[in-house]
Amino acid sequence: MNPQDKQSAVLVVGAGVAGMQAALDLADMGMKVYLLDRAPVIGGAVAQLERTLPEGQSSSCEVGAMFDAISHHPNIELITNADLQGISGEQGSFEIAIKKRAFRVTEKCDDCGACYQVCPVKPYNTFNEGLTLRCAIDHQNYSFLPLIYNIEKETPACQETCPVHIDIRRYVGLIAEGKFLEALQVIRERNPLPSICGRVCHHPCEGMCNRGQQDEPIAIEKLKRFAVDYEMNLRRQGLLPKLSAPKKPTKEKVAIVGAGPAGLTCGHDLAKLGYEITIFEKESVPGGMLYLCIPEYRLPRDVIEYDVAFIRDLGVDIRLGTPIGKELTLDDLRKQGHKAIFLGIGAHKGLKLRVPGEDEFEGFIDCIEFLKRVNLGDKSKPGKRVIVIGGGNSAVDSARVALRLGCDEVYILYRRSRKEMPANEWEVEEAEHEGVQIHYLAAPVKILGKNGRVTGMECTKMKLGKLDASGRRRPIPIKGSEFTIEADVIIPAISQQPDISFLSEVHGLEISRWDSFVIDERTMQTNLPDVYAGGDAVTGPATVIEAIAAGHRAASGIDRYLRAR
Amino acid sequence: MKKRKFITEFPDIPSKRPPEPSLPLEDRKGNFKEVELGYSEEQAIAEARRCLSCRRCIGCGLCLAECPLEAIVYDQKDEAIKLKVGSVILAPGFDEFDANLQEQFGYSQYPNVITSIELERILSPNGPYGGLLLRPSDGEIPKRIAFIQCVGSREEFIGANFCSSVCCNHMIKQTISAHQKVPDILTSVFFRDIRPLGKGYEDYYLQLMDQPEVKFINSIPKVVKEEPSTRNLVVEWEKGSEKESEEFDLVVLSVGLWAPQGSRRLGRLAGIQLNKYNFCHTTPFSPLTSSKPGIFVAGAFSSPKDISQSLAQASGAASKSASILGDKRELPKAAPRGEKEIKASNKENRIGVFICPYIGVSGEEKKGEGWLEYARSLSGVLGAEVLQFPCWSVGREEIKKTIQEKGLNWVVVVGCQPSISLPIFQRSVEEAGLSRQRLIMESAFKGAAEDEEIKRAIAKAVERAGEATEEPVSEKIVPVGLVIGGGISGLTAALDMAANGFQVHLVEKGSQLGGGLLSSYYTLEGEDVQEKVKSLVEEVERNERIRIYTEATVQKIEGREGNFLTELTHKGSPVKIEHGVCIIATGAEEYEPREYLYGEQSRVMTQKELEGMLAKGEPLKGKVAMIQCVGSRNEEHPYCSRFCCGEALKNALKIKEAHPESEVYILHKDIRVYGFEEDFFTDTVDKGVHFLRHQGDLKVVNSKGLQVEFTEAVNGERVTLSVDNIVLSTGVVPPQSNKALADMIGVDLDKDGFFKEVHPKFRPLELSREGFFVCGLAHSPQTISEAISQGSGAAGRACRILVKAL
Repeated sequence: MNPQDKQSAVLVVGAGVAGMQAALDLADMGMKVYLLDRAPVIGGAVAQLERTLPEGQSSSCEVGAMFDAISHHPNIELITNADLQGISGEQGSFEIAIKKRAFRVTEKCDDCGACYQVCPVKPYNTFNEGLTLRCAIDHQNYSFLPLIYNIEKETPACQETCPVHIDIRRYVGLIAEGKFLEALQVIRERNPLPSICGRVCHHPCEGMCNRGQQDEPIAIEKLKRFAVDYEMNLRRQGLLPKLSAPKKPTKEKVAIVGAGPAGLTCGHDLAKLGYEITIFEKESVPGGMLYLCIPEYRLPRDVIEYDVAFIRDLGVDIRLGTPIGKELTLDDLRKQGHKAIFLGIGAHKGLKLRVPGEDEFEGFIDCIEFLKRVNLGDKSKPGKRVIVIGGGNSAVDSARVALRLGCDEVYILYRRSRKEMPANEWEVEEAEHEGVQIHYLAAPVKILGKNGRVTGMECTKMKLGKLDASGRRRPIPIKGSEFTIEADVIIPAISQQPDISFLSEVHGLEISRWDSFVIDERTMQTNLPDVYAGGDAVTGPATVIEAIAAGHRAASGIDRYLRAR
Repeated sequence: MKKRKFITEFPDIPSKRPPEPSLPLEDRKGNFKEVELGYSEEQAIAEARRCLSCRRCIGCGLCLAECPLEAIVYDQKDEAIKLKVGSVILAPGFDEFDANLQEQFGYSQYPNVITSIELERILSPNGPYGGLLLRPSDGEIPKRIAFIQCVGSREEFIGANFCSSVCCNHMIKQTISAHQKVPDILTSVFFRDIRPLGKGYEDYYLQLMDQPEVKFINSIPKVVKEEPSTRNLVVEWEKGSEKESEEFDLVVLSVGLWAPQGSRRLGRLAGIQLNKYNFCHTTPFSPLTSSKPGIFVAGAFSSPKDISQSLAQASGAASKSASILGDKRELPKAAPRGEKEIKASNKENRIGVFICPYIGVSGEEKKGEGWLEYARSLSGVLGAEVLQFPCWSVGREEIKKTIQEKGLNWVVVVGCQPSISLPIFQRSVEEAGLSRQRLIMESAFKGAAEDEEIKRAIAKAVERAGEATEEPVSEKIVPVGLVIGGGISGLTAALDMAANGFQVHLVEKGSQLGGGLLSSYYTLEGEDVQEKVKSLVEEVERNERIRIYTEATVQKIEGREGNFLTELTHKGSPVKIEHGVCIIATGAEEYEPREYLYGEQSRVMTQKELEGMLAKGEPLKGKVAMIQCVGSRNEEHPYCSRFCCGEALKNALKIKEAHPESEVYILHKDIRVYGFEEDFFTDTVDKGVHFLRHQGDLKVVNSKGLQVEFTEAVNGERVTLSVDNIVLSTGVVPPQSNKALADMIGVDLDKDGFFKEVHPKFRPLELSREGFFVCGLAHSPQTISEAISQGSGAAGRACRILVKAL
């Protein structure tokens, strides 16, 4: 760094007492200070206190003195209602990116309070810890710095949380008014697979729903499903116009590998932009994991087809049973004139348990293989007593499928407790309701077998120990607690990785140690400029809606790349 | 949005979701029919109508229509800002623990279970009930309050095995406040250990212990239940093996301090390392630096801490940060004067009296007619006013207006703490055209004042207004610092000032730099103390801007802030030093025990002596008893020495490491380890060290070998332990020489003999004589990292003055 590049300004993040003090001291030393806070006002937690000492005066007087000093200091620039977006560079010369949210009230305000009298929206007053209400136009505490009032108008929590940011409040409002088709249009603006998501989305939006803090969150997922079902019924009755014929593509050819949610979304978006899209799918059905791994009782096949039809209708060519590999390589795709390639191959390779006896006996079958077999039509009963190992959705699905195939006893073995189980809570409840028996805090030790067939499994009980580096409590085996469960089928469902065996030896792609593609998170571009990747192939096993979000990002990344060419 | 409580609205909307039809259980076997069957039209509409629209602006336009100044701009856009800076200080603070995660306490199920922060708001004059202590369910005045400590702290199973450090202080302060507001209120405190962090709080704790209305119960309740008819709460807990319960009107959960929401994102953006609880990772010897050069940290983001520690760190981070910046400085100009300066000197006294309405008993707003009448009757007083919020801009505009309208030449403010608010009133009178010496501020109270005290304060201030003379302000600033004391905080302060470009004189009375840490070998976290101190001393010795005087004592200090002249005796000969500021870092001494057979029995030793042995590879074996609070928390030294619990854990772990079969007993009143030191506490418990709480009647006898006798605190049993060795966890005591130094400077010591700061929370490092600062053990008992933070902090505060010379 050149000495002349050395900056004499400081960014202080957080305008509580520590931030304010640091800013004041630096400013007094003659430095330029930017004092940033997420809240529209400054003061932090100390401003909320009654007093700071048993025999002191009101803390608002004490922090008030700091407010005063800050507001009078020529070297301090307040940037409130703002979020830090990036810090780059190095000591002496950092570059800072900040997004300052709109206040919507300007310096002209003289605190007459007229707006406050008429505002009909009453959010909780967070400065008073929700013990009172305030107005949507408000002064948040008494610092009055830098401005008196502001209007909080940010995205609702549900929309903020949704990985694809559907305008949930709007479509729920439309449903409340009986405008179901309009509601579905709002959903389709951000989500090309609404029928699927109406049934199997893990709906993080509901977790953030403010109504949930009152009693129960809005059933956002079920409302989405209702809107889709409503349209589906009308269409089946022939009451809606036919889908229009696809437009002719006007832009370059793009190849997509994998017709899962990420690939379908990417194709959908790019086709809408005018690109010529071909999706290459190894299996004989579209939908990827949605079709292969999610059982029909959760997601009927015609529902998948319904969403896929809309995408086909945009002119997307979905070639089923067309694997990319030795026969048809990525280079072949390039040669065919595809200017960009999106890899949405999912994560289909089951991880090993790493216990003795694994793979030795018949009756030991990986969950993905098991679910695929059933979902592609083989509804034969695998055995009488089934153990599923794992705590994710695939584990629960495998168990419930086994019950439906007529297995007598189905167990799930999970090494942590119910609270840590990653599967959707409602799925676990249903599974138990249907008769699946779950052993929490238990892990496999050894697969037992006789005459080449599985006969059972030796397990150990676990206890939760200290937090590990990831902040989760690590399960530890309890010595001497071993027990045996008899079984003739064992289904490990512990996790999956992308299966990258289709790549040629000199593919040149950067691959992580989990066999996933390494990408730039903003554009989804891999280290090869014309190859993009997203969904489980990048993140490892995750959710539908995250794959859709990745598809969106990749489509805009590819579009930007091709336009820049 | 975090809260949701007790404000029922939208009664016309059905409260629960309509149940969704599903496939009956018996129909599910042998087929793959869809299980969930979806909503009907009616159900969907009913469900959608439950949406609250989230209480965010709906853009209705009503405010826009009302606003006479057209100040509202609905479609104002977000703004992207790019900045270039040389350094970054992260001070995003903390988030209070979400009490819903500990369901057993009934938070958000029962309206009268509140968090400690909610109680703060309730007690505040500008809070939801105007400062009256009322309970949320019915607005009744509670007569019985329970505090439950450690909610969201020291709980491994919720992922928070750290002590939030401030909640005990919070509870102590709130109990005192509650008693001021409702004098006959009964308080029960459920606790694990009482940990009153920081200066003075041990005294408040002792005061509470003496009050019959306050009960301390050493147990964390199992569950809180509500009595539905009265909405009172029944708290159930275990005492030993017995179950007990009691009814309360209000239950306060002392919620912990967690890493701020978004800290992971912040960590990622800044490229800094976080610890497992998502706080910023720092090390004991670099408490202000993140893992990335140029990014500093202050306040609760690096670990839960109180206001004074946060501010010390903030000043320290400012000093560190400034030292790596470019040298383009723009010093703030003197406050702008009013257009025509009022020539005030020769006229008769025209005094205006301004009184804060919140200084009366219990902090409630007072109209204060009696005070005003009294003030107006005093000679020279032209007018008197009670000002709503005098220290806020609204109130100060009023003061300025009155000065100009009435032609005042003296302004008297009777309010709370001149140490905090004096500068803001000075600014106001200067803006109105008066010299700052024409402002007299008088504090009326300690906590809350009776009418008579307020009148006395008014009279005193008015009298002073007539008498004060204007002193000429010295303009000369000598850009040199003097640091007295060469321990860890003094070394840090010297290095920091030097790094900011100033000459420093470092005076040490001993022959060697390093202070108390010279006899320390490792920290609880496992760092090599000797190595760290050695490299710090070397750095100081190498630094060209630092002049070291060992075997030197200060004889005399004259002058004023910015321009002092100090006389030293350095190795017998006199030296004179000119300097602009002075930092007192004289440290403290280890308590020399006279109790527990120390000095009579070689098998009774101090933790320091044990540490020395351990460092030489001579660990103790067999049965070891460690006795806490030797020379602390007793009548002679009522304060807590802060670090001895950590020392005991550290050495107990070392003993267990070397000889796992040895038995270590830690005999204590409370285990006081703060912040992330808690992890070491649980570690020590896991390793099988025994912790026994006693009732303060501990005795050591030597008959048939060493024996410790005491009464166990929980069940009151008399215990006799036969042990092979006894280790005394001795505290620190302020040196006798503090008194002479304080007298020479003309500042006060606190009642325990440490240097007394201007304001214990908001100006923790300044002494009452301007230009003097204090840090380290001279200030109060503290840990290494706290002493380093204070050393940097004092340097930061001092540099503010020295830069004026540039």
